[in-house]
Amino acid sequence: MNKKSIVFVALSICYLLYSAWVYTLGTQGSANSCASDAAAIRGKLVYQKYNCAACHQVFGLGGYLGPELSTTMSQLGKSEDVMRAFLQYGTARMPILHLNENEITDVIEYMKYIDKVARESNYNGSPIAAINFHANRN
Amino acid sequence: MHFHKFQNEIHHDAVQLNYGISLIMPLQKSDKLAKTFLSTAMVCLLAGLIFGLAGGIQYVVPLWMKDSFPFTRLRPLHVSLVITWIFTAASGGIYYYLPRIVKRPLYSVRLGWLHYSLLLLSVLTITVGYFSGIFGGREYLEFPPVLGLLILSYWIVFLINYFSTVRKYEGKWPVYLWMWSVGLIFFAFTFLESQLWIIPFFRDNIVRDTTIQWKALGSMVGSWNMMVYGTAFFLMEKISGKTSVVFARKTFFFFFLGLTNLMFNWGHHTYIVPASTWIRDVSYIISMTELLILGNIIYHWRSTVSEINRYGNINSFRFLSAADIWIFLNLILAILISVPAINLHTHGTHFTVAHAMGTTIGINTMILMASLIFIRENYPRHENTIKVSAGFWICNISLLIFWLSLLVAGFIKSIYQGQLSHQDILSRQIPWFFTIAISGFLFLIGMILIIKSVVKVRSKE
Repeated sequence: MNKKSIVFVALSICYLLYSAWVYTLGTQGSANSCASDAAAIRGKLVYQKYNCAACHQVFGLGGYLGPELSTTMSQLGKSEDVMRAFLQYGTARMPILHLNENEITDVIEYMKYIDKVARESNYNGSPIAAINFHANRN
Repeated sequence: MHFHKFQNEIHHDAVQLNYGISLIMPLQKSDKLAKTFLSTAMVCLLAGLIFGLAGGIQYVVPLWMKDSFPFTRLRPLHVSLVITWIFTAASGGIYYYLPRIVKRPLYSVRLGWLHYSLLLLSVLTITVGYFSGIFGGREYLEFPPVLGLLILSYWIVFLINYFSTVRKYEGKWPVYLWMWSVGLIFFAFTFLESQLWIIPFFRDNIVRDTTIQWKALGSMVGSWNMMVYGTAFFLMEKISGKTSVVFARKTFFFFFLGLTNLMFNWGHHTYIVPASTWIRDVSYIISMTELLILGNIIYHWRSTVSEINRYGNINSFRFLSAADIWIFLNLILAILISVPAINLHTHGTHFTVAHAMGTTIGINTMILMASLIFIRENYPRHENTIKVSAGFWICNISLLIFWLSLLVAGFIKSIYQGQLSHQDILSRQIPWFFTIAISGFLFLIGMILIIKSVVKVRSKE
């Protein structure tokens, strides 16, 4: 085995070890990070089924046409009813997605779950709050 | 297969390009396969640009096709087709160059056609699915996960064909063979990783799920960068006529640093995800290097190429030079958005889009266009140079306006985020979205000019 192959194999081993750590200990999060509610898990799949990520972000990841949703459930004026109305009738920019009642309920439960995790980590969807996030974790 | 037998099977069409550059590119049995890949890639690029333009218009005119063909369909169509362009053009280039590098025919042209058939089937299925609003996957890979099996299967076919061919190469591997090999392997790995979400252990923890999604996608971008940059190194070697750079110790040092970036620098996508802070720290340390490395190599390569060689393959050279400039611009942006204190403000804004567009269009597309034109100019026909030149300038100037407008839109959001409502921020960004749509349209026109020229020459062959 030549030197280049040795470097390649060594890097690959480091990468696999790092990946294993990321898959487990590095991403455990808090006790609330794991969804225990079946409705929230279903809601995540509904979120994917309608490709909500094309326009919305969760933890800053997703499209930018619609607002960040990480803490939308606990923001002023964004009650469950308001969220239900958005999902049912759309907005000036958001199309009517024709979700059924169960799907709407599941998405709301998913939003509540994300909100709980985000709030716990002091993230409120704006960069200013995110500054505190890592400070608190450290 | 014995080399002499191989020689009998191919038609030697050694071409002496202008200005004395000796560039032997004999015709291969697999050339039709390679050119079919390249043609399909061009169709995907044009279709992807059209959907991107339509999405840009929806930013400015929200009611336009809002319910009949919403942004939720336009965006994945745009993204998936443009990514397909990059992969397919890079794969077509590899199919074209590899037998010439190895001096042996492709291991199996039949496997190559199987690869193409499965690719075409997956592109058509996914595109029709997106048109119909059938999703179920994740951002950038929105198709139902079962279709991932199609992608995985054609990639395995490609891996078999590639490695069965390249193992016959005699002597030390030049850097581009390393880059292609690593790119191909890591795409397979990261694609599998991107589908881990179907397992509840990964899916049901939002922190784990989000982090791994971006780990996979971040490294997947690195994998296609390896394929594209490998192509750039091959072109550089052929245009300059110098082989030393692709075997140089310094080049390999930078290649391995690039590989380290592919493996570990994805974390800047997830700085604000509440995972371990180690992920951020590792990423921050490593992410400072990647584009700087390549920019450095290309910069030094350029300084060694003589004027005559530059003009000998002028169109390819121009596109590689444009990629140089885009590397420089994206290098600055990449460094800035990788600094955690700055990332907190730029993350979730169009700064990220500017970085993505600068990389996929400015760097990847310019290099792949150089490759397409290089393959075209293997034949001594230059009658479309003016059109290619016009297209080149239209594309690059419009892309610069596009890129700067994205930065301004991102800057506006980063200022007002947390202070104004989303709708108010959007209304302040509208003039810049308008500029983005117009410059996107001009880019499409420029690209049509270039592609039309390439296709015109091919149709005459």
